[in-house]
Amino acid sequence: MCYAKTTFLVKSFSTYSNEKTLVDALKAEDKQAFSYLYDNYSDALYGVINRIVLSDEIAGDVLQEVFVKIWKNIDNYSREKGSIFTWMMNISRNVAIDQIRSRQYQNEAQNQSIEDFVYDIDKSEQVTSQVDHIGLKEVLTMLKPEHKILINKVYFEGYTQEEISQELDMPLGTVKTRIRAAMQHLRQILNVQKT
Amino acid sequence: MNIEAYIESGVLESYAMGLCDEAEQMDVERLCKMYPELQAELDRIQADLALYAQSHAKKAPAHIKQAIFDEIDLLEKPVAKIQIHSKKEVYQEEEKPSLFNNKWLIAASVTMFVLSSITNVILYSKWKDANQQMIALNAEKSLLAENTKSNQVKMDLMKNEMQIISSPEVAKVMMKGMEKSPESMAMVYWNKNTREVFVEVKKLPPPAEGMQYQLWAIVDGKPMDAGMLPMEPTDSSLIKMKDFGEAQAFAITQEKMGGSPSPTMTEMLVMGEI
Repeated sequence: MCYAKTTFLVKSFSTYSNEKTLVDALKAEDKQAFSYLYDNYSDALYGVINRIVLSDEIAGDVLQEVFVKIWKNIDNYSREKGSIFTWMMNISRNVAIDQIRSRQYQNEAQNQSIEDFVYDIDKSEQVTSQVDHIGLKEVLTMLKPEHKILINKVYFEGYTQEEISQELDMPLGTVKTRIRAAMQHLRQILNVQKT
Repeated sequence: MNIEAYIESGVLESYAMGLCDEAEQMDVERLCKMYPELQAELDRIQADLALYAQSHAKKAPAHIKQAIFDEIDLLEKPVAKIQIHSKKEVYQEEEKPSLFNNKWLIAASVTMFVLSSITNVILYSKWKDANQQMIALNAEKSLLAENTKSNQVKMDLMKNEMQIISSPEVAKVMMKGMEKSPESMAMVYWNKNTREVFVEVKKLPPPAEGMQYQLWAIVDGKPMDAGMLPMEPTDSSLIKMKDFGEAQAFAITQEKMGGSPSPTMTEMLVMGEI
């Protein structure tokens, strides 16, 4: 199994040398472990939430709600569902998507065209020094725009297959294979970056 | 099972990105447990996505962390409170088993008190209405009594006047309107025995500002003052005037306030001969 790419997310602190000890500490309601979790993942989650809700203020509220949920529901997390980050990422997506789908938000935000969306991504590509160090940001500019849009719509905005089919004008049956193609492209880029 | 085809279908990517419905999700999880290659591929996809998400990282506002810890601290406290509260309730119930009955008694007496208060308010307002009606009726009654009394006085006065006018000793002199005021008219009633003189104004214009009507008796061709008419009409239509002895005619002139020693002939309104 390959966890090499996720391990960079967890800094090699002596107390939480791997994900398992961190999760065990969290399940034991260790607030120090929770503080560590926040320090290491909050920026990544905040960035994704911000990309979904497109507002610093709302993103802050969502981030707060997400971490409170993580604290409350840590017992529901199991290794079988993927890494702790994947689990937290799913919670963040769900809370953020709930937020933008609530009527209040729809009144405030204006519909964005694909062009605006791409522009927003490029404009606000504020990555932390951690990511800069890896050089991920530069590498990801190599990702084809149509792949980027597809991944963002599905992964960040929670579009359904039907919505993707309509929005991006592709047959319903090909949505999954297109996603596969986009992810393959992403992997190629990440492999290039790795070597 | 063709693992390769399954991976190529993109279902694992869709699963990792949250695009699958519940049935598909369960399918993926079941197959990943069965085939380590699938699980490995899924892990790789999730790791790629984590990296991709990480590339969007943005510095979270500093205050959020404290807010989260505050909220978590609050989550713990209410639980403790509820426990203390429920213990207290249990204790009270054991101490006073009759509390349940007392509650009904309290409820009943509160209800009675409320009903009684409402009745009091209604009765008081009814009593107040009746009292006010009585006061109004009393006022009406005394008004009627006063009217009766004043009518009696008026009737007595009219009776008196009738006697004066209808007496055979009384000479009636009609004074007709002169050139100045042809519409005017007045009567003089003169009792030769008692020497009483009365004037009855039938029609006279109101006197001019600062002026007053004066009655004259013409005795042997000379006008003699027979008294001033009141400025305003009185209840009695007959006005008692001065005694003036034998007269052949009467006249009313408009004079200055208080009267004149001799009549102003141009201001004569009415005149009549016996």
